[in-house]
Amino acid sequence: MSAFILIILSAVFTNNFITVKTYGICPFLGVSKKTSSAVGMGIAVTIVMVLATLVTYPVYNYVMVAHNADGTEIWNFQFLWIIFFIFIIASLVQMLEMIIRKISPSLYNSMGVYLPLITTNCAVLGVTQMFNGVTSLGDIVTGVGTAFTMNIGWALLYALFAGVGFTLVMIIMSGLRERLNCYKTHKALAGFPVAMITACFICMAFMVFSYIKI
Amino acid sequence: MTAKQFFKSNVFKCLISLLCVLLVSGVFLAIANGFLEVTEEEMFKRQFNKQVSAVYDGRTVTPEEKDISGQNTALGSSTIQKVWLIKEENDYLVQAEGKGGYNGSLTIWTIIKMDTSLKAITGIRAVSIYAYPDGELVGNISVANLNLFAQDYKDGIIYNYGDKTDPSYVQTNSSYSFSAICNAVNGSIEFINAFAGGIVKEDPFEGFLYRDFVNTDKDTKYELNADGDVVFTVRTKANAPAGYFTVEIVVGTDGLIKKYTVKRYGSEDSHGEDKTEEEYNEIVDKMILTYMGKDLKYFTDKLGEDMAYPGDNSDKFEETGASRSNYLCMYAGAFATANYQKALDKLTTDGGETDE
Amino acid sequence: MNKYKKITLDGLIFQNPTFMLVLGTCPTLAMIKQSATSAMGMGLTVLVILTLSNIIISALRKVIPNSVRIPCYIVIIATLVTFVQMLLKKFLPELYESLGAFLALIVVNCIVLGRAEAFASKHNVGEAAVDGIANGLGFTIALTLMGIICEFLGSGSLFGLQIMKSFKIAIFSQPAGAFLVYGIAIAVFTYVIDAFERSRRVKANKLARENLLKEAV
Repeated sequence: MSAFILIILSAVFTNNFITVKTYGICPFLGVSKKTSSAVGMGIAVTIVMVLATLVTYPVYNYVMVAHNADGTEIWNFQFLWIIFFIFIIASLVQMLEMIIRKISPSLYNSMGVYLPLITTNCAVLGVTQMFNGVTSLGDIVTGVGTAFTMNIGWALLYALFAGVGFTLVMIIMSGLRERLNCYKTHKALAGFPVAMITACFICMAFMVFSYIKI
Repeated sequence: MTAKQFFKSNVFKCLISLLCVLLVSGVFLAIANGFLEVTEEEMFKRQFNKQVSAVYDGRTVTPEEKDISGQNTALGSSTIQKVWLIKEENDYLVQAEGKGGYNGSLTIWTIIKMDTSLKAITGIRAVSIYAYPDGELVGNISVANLNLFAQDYKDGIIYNYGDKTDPSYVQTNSSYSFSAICNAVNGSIEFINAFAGGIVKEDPFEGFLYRDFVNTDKDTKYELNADGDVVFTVRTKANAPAGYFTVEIVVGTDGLIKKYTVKRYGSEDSHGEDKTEEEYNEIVDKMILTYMGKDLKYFTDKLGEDMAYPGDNSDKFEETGASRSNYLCMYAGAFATANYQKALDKLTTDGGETDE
Repeated sequence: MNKYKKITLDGLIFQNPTFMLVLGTCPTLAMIKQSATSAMGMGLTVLVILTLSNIIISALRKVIPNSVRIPCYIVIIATLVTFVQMLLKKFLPELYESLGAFLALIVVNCIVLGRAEAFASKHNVGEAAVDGIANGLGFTIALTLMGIICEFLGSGSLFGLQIMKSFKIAIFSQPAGAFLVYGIAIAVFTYVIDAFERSRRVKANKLARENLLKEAV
């Protein structure tokens, strides 16, 4: 039970993908002008992160670095992981786009344009990369003992909550930016600079969570 | 479409070009990997040269890895990962993981000096940090801090520089990290003593029951008093929000509790919201009176053979309102009465005090 | 010669990927808060990968069919990144350690993919190479400058040399400080470029008016 809570704390707050690890900044700055698009992007990214982990984790651990029953290696294609992973992610995003277009054309129209962007989102490749060669959950989540070995369940859980953390920060940022729109900013600071300074404050707020210890 | 049409179509061209790119890339990378792969040996050599060579003033040394697969490498607060013998210097290089860091475990290299027969430890040459978790503030641990291990070594020492309650505490602003380093060094020494010298650290609590909530690493001990009773000093673990208790239980020759004194209340650290520290302690004191003259059966009748926690405000407790504190005290009582005979045996065969 | 000059100036200044186009922000923020050397290292690595990828993709631009071009580009870039990763791990392990996870993330760096898609696929090898070098240099210089500021304010050192012993504002070693420096840097840079462009336009207008007057006379 405590591992579950620690994963949530770690993925959403203390190791937040945007404010601590600085992954996924491009959509964070580009798509956070309106809350509706921010929420859509966040949910899309979360879904892709979970699906990508679901496919890449077994591919890495059972296909690329395959082991015999007694632990010896059959072969080791670890050096090809970038190509494999990015291929899997690009295909997943393409399939997701096709599925959304078939199922709900209105949803596709409102946020389908962001889907191809998710392929180049650092957060997705980042989260799949996190589990490469990690044997114990304690290596990723601080405070968990060595008792928990890494398996696909923990990986999926972590990916899910990393996406939740991403969405959370996107929503906060879009809320702040919508408010900022009501005020006139100096011409030099308008657009990206003021967004960055807002992001600076969000990051400072999240620094508080790094002091939590269980 | 016909086969010929397919081979001319756009789809085929796309597939072929994609496959070609993939194939060329794969082959190129496989070749590159063959030339550029950095093996574990090379990684070790690099790390060794970077961290250790300075210690030997440039003398050539060849570390030879030792097989430790049959040994006991899980030693409480540290795990021994690898051991190398540096023949030219009669040193052992031990790679050990020390638990209790701020963000996880630190991996530490300890170079232990041995005598010419390679059986006894003569000192520590150097300690270095091999790996640490992300965010660990190892920058606060200076070279001078790490040199303390080499300076302060004496036979049987247990390093406690990171423990604020210990007189040897050294202020670094990274006490968790320093504690983990101490754990690793202590573990390395213990391991080499057993591995090279055959000295196995005796566990005074070997075979004891009910150890889950008793902190056998710290303060817990047992000794004989003048009347031939076994005096247990038991430091329990914490049972949040109740802190740890240190209690003194005197078990008489009939195996019953003769005296039960609380030396340190858990409410000192923290306690529940609804009562003050004094109120909690009062309830605990009342419960303790009921333990006098009891044996193990009294405790196991109440909480079962496994002495499991029955839940807050359970009717198994004589007094309610401080369930977690009372549980710790009952657990300590069970520990003392259950292990009385074993402790007595150890004390009479060893002939004297045994402590941690 | 003129078009090479235009490509270079665009990549370095007027379309600087970090300050004007705000691309590739993930490695930017991560590296400048570490140290100036990490920032420069990341910049140079991206420079190498960007140039090589531009060259290869430009060479293959007529061969790869249009509908699979993005996957092909991604595979080519991924191969290059994997190769560079192997090289760094073997020959420059300190740089490899300081880049960390972001070395692999260069694959999804918007700059690399963006220049491949927007430029290399439409121009010849020479121009693509110059564009790659120019954008890479622009990225490197931007990162190094911001890295210097962050490192100096955050730990009082410059490329590892301790200059100020006790002057440390810790926030600049955290993402928050990196965001702040990046935002202000963009503001300053765009302001300067805007002023430069305005003065150039004013001069051009003045010149045009003078020419008209001359012709009227």
